[in-house]
Amino acid sequence: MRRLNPFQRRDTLSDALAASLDALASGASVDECLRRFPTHAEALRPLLEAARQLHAYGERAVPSPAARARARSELLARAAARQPAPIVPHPAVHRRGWLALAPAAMAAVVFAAVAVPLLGALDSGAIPGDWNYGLKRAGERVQLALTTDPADRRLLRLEFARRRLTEIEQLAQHGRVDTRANVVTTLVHDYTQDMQQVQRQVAAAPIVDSSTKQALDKTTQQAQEVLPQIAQSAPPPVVAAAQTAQSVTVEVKQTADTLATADKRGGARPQAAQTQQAQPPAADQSAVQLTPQPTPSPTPATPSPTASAPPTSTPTPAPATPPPPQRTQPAGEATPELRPDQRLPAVLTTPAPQIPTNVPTPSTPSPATAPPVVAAAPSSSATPQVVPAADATPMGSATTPAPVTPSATVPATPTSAATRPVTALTPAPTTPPIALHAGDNIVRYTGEPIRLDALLGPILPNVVFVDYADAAGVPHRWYPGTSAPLIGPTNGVMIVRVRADTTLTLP
Amino acid sequence: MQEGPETAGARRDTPQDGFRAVGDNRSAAPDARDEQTLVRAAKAGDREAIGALFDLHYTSVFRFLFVRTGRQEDAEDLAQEVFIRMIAALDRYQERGIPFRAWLMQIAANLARDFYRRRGARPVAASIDAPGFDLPADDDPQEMAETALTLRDVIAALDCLTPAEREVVDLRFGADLSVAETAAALGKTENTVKQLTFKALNKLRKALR
Repeated sequence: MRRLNPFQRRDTLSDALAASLDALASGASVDECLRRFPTHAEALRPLLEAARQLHAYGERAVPSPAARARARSELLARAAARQPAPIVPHPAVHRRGWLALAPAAMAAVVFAAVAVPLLGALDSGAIPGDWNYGLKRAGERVQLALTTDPADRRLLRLEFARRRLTEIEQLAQHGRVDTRANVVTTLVHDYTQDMQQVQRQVAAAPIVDSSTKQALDKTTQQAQEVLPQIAQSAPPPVVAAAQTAQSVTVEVKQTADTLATADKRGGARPQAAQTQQAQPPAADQSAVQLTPQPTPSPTPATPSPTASAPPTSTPTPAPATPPPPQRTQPAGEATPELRPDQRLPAVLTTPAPQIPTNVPTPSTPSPATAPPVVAAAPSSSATPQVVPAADATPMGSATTPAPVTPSATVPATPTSAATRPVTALTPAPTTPPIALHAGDNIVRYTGEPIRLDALLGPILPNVVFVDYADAAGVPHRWYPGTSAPLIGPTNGVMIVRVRADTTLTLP
Repeated sequence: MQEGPETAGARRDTPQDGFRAVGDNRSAAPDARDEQTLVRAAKAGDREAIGALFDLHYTSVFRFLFVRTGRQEDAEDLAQEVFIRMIAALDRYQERGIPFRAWLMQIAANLARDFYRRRGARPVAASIDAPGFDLPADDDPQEMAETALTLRDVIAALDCLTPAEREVVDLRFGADLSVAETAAALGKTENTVKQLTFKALNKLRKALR
């Protein structure tokens, strides 16, 4: 057996002790612990005995019922007086006014002027655990705080997101994903938050500029390389976080691609229904269209038999790949212009879909899971994958407008009979219910402005809070019971946190 | 709603092996998912959830403060203050930071430090005769006496620990925190906590010989 020097021995003994103490706390016996660490048994036994006596000492402390009741009632009284505040200024602002922050502000300016360039230079590939990692992150926060231009902020966020991916990759290369699962989970979470911020800012921006587009492509590509690796072999919390991150990456990419395509076409951003209708819709329950649907118009298009079996996009390709549906369309019909309030696809998080690239993948229709009405459930996640061959314009290739062909062009009316089965003439419900899962859900509302509490209506008791960004991209948090903001097309991207699974039907 | 740890009958006999006897009602680490749900609801203003969090953690907080201060009255006052601070700071608590229990103990540890700073004293161990210290009501007087002697020895031995070791011991064995929770509560690495625990127990072992 390899001999250990005294320091190594103490390390392993302290590890064995820690593991034994945890085992004892879980109900294991001393003998079981000693059997688990036979080489340390002799040294461990007296230590565990001392621990047991110490534990017995702590256990003897008993609070008086009166004090306990007093503390509880005092706590609940404070809780009743407390208003869950969304985002409040620093308490000092309330107490003493802005003047109180003057020294801090001056220090921040000096720090920023002197240290930011230095900290920028310190973006040296420091990873969690390195001495300068805290400085690196602090530098990022300062950089972000000092950047006011929305486009620059987007680029910064994307850069930070890529840094998180690089850090995750480096931790993985050092084999520290298992041992530092908490750190990796936090990094993935930070990446996800950055991407969600980018999504909000992109949705609120008047145009998706090329630098944002390039940065987003770069980030997506890196995410595609890093996240699936993590999702394969990491501990469960990391896997869950990585899957969410993949899902958010897909959404951000699709949102940006959709908007970029529309901007290239001349400023009118596409309606979700139009984009999605050119493609087979997804049966994924998270694929929802929050924009109020117009009622179907009796367009005299000839229904195609194949269109009545709408295919669906799934994150993993199905083995059977029926041919894409052929849709009849009056020749030469142009891509319709869209109402501004119908420009964005509804987005809801989906578990770990494939991250789309600019190269479209042939669809994998699955009639068994297809919804009955083609136009009723367009999916943001289906966008890049399910484009039929004839109109396979990738969402990201904004410079290549979709070719207009008789077999593939989209009808102007989102619920045209050409895309519906026999039941097409029956008016579809205006908005399908959206499945919300316990926890955070990204929801997009692009209808007429409405108060948030009215929008959420019957599920309000189930809502913990809603995060949303205003038109300027400034994040806010709203709690039920407080004054509700107006939600409309300019600030309709929300994160709705619910306590339990539920469904939301929008007005 | 989750039942508080004190609602069941308490068992006062010393476990012969392991830390937990059958029926032991010490406030073990709650299921993380349940606790997160409670914390979210509490943040949203759900008073029932706030009450449940209190029930879940009050005993641990009290025990930690009791072994820190050595006086029941001080421990109860400080424990009440911990939860008042909890409710005031709840909006700032982030789940992805440290576990809620560790966060709560962080508040408690800071309060205990302030307590001693104000008094210019260092942590003292409780006397087994102090109110709030519950000796086993055993039928066998001899066993009772032995337990009391052992506990007196333990209390006396705690004086040989450094402040850092003492704080770790109080959290690990008073509040029943895990290594990770103790590390999070004290802002130390897990390795440091392991080392301090080892050193402390080694000293206690020698002192208790």
